[in-house]
Amino acid sequence: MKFTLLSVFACSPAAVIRGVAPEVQSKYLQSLHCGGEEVALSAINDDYCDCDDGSDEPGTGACSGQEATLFHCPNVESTPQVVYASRVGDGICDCCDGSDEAHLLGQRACPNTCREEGQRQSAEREKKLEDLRAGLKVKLETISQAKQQKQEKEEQIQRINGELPGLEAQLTELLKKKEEADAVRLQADCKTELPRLRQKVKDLEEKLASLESQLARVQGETTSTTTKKVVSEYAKWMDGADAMEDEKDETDMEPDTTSQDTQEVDGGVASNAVSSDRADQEEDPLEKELKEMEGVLKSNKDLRSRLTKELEELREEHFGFASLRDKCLEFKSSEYTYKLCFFKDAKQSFTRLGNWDGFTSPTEAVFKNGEMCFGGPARSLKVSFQCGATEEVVSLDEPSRCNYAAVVRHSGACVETMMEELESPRIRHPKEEL
Amino acid sequence: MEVVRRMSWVFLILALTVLPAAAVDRSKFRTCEQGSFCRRYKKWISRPEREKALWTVLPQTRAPLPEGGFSFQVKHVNEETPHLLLKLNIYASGMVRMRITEIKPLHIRHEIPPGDVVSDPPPAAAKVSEADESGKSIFKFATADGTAAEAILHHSPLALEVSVGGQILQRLNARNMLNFERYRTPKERLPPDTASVAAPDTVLLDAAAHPNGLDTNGLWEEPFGGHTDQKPRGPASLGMDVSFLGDVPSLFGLPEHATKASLPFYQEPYRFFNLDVFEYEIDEPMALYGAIPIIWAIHRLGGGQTVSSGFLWINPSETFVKLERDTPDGKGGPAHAWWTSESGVLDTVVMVGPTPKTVSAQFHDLTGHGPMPGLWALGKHQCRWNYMSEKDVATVDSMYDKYDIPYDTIWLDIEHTDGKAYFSWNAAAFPNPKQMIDNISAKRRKFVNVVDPHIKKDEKFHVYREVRDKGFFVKKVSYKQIDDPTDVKPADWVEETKIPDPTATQPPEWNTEEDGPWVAPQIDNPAYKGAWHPRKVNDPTPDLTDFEGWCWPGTSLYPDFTDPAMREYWGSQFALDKYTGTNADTYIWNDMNEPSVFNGPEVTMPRDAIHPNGMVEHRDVHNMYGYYVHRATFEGLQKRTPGDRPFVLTRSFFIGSHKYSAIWTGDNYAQWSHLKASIAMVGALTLGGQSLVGADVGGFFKHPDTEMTVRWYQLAVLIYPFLRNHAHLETPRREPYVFDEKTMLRIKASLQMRYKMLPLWYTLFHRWASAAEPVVRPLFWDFLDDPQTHENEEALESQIMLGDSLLVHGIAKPSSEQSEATVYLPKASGWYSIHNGAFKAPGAHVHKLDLDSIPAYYRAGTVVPLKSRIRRSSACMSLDPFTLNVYLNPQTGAAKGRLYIDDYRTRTYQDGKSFLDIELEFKDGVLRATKTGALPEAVAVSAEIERVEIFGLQTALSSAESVQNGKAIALPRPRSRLLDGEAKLQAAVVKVKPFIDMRSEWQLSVK
Repeated sequence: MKFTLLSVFACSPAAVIRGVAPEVQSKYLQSLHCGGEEVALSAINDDYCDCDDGSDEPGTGACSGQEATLFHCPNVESTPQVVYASRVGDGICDCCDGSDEAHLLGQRACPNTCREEGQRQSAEREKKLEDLRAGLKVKLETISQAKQQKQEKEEQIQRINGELPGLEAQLTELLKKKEEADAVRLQADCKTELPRLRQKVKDLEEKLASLESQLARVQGETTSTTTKKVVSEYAKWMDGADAMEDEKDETDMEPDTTSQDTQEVDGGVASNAVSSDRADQEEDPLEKELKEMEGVLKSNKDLRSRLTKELEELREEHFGFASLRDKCLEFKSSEYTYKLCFFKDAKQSFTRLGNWDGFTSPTEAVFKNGEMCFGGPARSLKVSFQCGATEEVVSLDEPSRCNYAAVVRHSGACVETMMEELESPRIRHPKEEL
Repeated sequence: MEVVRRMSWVFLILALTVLPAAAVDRSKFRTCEQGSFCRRYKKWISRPEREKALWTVLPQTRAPLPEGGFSFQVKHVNEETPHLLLKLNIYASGMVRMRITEIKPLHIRHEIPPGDVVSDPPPAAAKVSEADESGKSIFKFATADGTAAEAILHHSPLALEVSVGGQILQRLNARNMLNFERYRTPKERLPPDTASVAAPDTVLLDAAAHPNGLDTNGLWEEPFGGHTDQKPRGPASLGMDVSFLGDVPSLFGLPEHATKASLPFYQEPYRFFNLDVFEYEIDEPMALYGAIPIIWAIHRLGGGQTVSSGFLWINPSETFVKLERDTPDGKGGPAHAWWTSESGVLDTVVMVGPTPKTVSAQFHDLTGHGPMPGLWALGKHQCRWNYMSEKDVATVDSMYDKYDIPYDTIWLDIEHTDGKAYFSWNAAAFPNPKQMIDNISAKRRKFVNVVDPHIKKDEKFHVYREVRDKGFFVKKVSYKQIDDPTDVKPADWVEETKIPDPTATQPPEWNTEEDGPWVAPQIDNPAYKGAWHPRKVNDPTPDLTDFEGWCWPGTSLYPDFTDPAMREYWGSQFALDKYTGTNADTYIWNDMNEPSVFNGPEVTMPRDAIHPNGMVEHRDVHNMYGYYVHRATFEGLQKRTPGDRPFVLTRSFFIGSHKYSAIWTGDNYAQWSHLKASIAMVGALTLGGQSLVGADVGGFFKHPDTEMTVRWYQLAVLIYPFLRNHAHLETPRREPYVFDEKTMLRIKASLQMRYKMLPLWYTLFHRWASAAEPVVRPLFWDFLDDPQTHENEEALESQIMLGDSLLVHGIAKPSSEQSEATVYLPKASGWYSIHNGAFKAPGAHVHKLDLDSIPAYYRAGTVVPLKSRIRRSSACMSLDPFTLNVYLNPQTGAAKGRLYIDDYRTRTYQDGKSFLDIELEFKDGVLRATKTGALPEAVAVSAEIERVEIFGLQTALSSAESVQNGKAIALPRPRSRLLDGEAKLQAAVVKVKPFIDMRSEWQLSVK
């Protein structure tokens, strides 16, 4: 096979354009145009760059600096690759067959390492394939479970949605009954309590009047002397703080300010009524029933919103990651123990790096809004998933301060199409490296 | 409890909102007024009748100096005998050096050891004719280029006039501001042997002893910022003025200051005191990291002649210089400067010019020539605080390759070390550093590690133990107060506390027989002023312990780098068997070498610390500490890899640092103002001899937006000889590939342009190393006769020249604020856009801006060497052929240029022949070369031409021919195109196939 290939090359010299993949060779058999001009055949690979896109120099470094035309290394016994023209003749062996440095001769020539590279690569591919197969298997299971869970959740939601109107009607009914019962009791209470309360109001009004007159007198005496001197910024700030404190106190009371009087009254008088109310509640079957009904409604609604959230958090395209639900993965560095709890939060020992913010791509997710760095941004953690059958954190770095990046191995990142690529590797392209 | 918590939150929020927008903390750093010697110098020079002569040169004491030149004794009018010695040297290249020191000082006045700044005494002027006239000694000489010059030493008051071609350019002590404080015994007002000791309070002697509002604060100790500077040796400052005569439109120089190119005449003097200034600001005379106290003056003389001269103040102690004008509007007429330094000797050099080129030549004749940097040092450097691990380094390296972006060097900052003990590795993050660096070497790239001079105090750290045991650490002085042995009790000291009451008389009723002899009652003696105590002085033999300060590692010690033995030890630490994990492609970055001492006064070392080498006080050598550090590193690397060109980057520097080190402008800011200021800062530094210089691209602090990043790269690739991208720990990553694709491609295009122009850069560095020409320089350097280059704000502050061929105009505003730029093209035969070859006549041009490029123009009449093939690193380009761009003078159809080639990395070129230095000339359609030197065959670099591009032809070309070794070869028909611009000029590309080999005889002709 190898022999035949070589002889084909030998028989049709025009087809042997250095640096061009066999399937593209024919392009160079016809006349070549660039920049609106025809390029003479003699200008192909003459180590002089005539075309800005480098198309006249596919096999030399003459057009290095552009990336439209790349140099093809056959890499027999390994994977063919294309490299930037800047790699051709730069003194560094980029291709295992050394074809990018064909000018280096003797001792400085690039050794052909394609057999070793090929073996290493196929071993690596085997390993990856193995991982991929295992990963895909796990992923399939995960997905089918996720689908089932999805269905269950949807059914549950549906069930809740079906039951809720009935439950709500029951609750309304109970509330109505309770209102009626309360009205009857209140009427009875009023008859006994009203006179007493009236007397109390009168007493309090008198007390209030006397206090007010005292206060007016005292204020008259002190206003001239209490004008505070601002002695320092600190004092000024303290004043501000006081003001804010007052404000806060006011806000605390706000909801009740309108009924302040009655509350005062309650404080002294109605406490009996309240406590007796409580005592009553214990025994009031209506009250108990109402509470229970409210509880049922609430738990149903909570469940529904949790399920809805879970469904939204994990869309169908990420079902492969469903096994991460309620799971934490740990990673120990020399200084810290990191804990990545998916769909929840991520921590570096005791520092929160972020809350789960969802997937950003088929194989990437992010935790955001972690604890603030001093004078800097809030911490965040980007997660990149890598195909594998096991679940583990491969690496965790801080590429810039407070911006963390983790690589996590997980079957969710395994994709069928990888199989194809691993089984019959394509030509390697420089932009795919890394 | 709740209230307390809430209050603390309020407090925190307040504290956060009042955090200042980035600004330097001025309270940390001294002004002239806050430092005693500068304050008293200001009082000294404002004394009444300042013009009256104080110091007089005694012509009869003239004696020849062993190294050439003359010495004179100088006597103060109020001193019995002469105490100062004036030395005058006239150097062949056209320099007049005047030094003044004490004849017999009480303490050694620190002088920079010969060779450390002034490399070797430069050759003395060949023919100096001397003549004494009444009141002056006249020395006539000629500069290296034959210009007649004179130095006239006026005897009383002492003054020195230097003139060229009959025109006085500079006058030293013109305004009689000379001050020279001789050492005196502790707490003495006057130094020994002063006249009129009878009235010491009224004698007019020096800034530390005079009757005119004398400020005696801080003579013997001086507090600042919670530290007290002990000065057992007392005041020893010195100062003088210099006037630049003629109409002087602008002064340049005084690096390093974050100021304008045309130096502003600030109220506050410029300060030279090397400091680690956090978040420095722009348009400021505050001190920064380094000091090259040189002033360049432009003198417009009668008859339309414009010349240039230089003035250098060589003193490593704290120095202030104030620029002044006679006119209130601060424009035109002569310009003046006064200088004052805290200690040492007065050492000044006048570089007489008269052209900028000769001033540069004179400066380097005095301070030595810089070495050729390795070509790689001119490529792109990628740095960050910090690449965190071996994987991180490998990733950055391969990301550059992934996008085919060229770069040469990757850097590691302090985090790579084991607890900031330099020379060590953080083993968790860098378990196999040697392998990591070898991988970088395999890509033909280089590696730089930071090694700071502060030494972690840690018994486990061998460098700490060894330096300590050798006694090389700078010492702290713990003074004990003792009785001054010279202070004896005066003979007339009243010791009686009680005396008999003189007013009392024996009462008449006193009966002596009965009452005994009458004795007057005792009263307090009014003449008694208390018990006599001798004056207290600091024990001259204080306890010396190793000085400890705070820096990155915590408690740190600071080696005495002024000691050659310490430098030798330091250098030996870089040996590959000592510095584990490194290889021969590893080079060094010295940071924090001002030195930075976090808890020291002004974030540096106390001035009263003692350098064990000569028991010199730190104040005497402060501004040279950084210089000695990077020099020790350079010399170590030289020994580590014999034959290799060392590379060291330093933050702190002094006059002469260019012989050893690259410098950068320190911790700048991602702000447009810093981008713009870098043009002036780089220009000032190159005028100070420091051509291997640059600012951090993108700014060190904070994060530049994409537009600022692009603009910064576009400028930096064209005008920063040292091109490094660096960033603070807290900023997001900013390597070129992290940006959006458009931005990445713009940065990549800029870097590709830099690599394409490397042959020009390298040739310019050869001009610098061999002919003292700054690689980058303000416009006046090349266009002195064009007055716009002295006064046009845009031309001065936004533009700069790369060599004599490329003019660059920096864009320092976002496009939202600036859509066009006015570019001033100086008087020449025309200019060609670097981007499309469009021809422009000299004068101001409005340039519409887009984000793809900044305005840059090649001067008509130049030949520019380039390499069109862009590789991943400069080493990978060594076998690639050259492209020559010929930019014709459209009137004459001629152009000239140069190309320098050597092996790009070894010191072999220093043999004076192992290189090709080619002068190129295009004339009458023929490109010819004259070469000196010969590249040995074994040097595997290309000296071939693959392409010649000719701009400014009147007609299209029809044919081209090369002649090699006498053999004519027809070349492919050139391709021509019409250039933009009114002149309707043509450009043509000549495909040189086969290549011309410039090692042999050749020429190329076109028709």
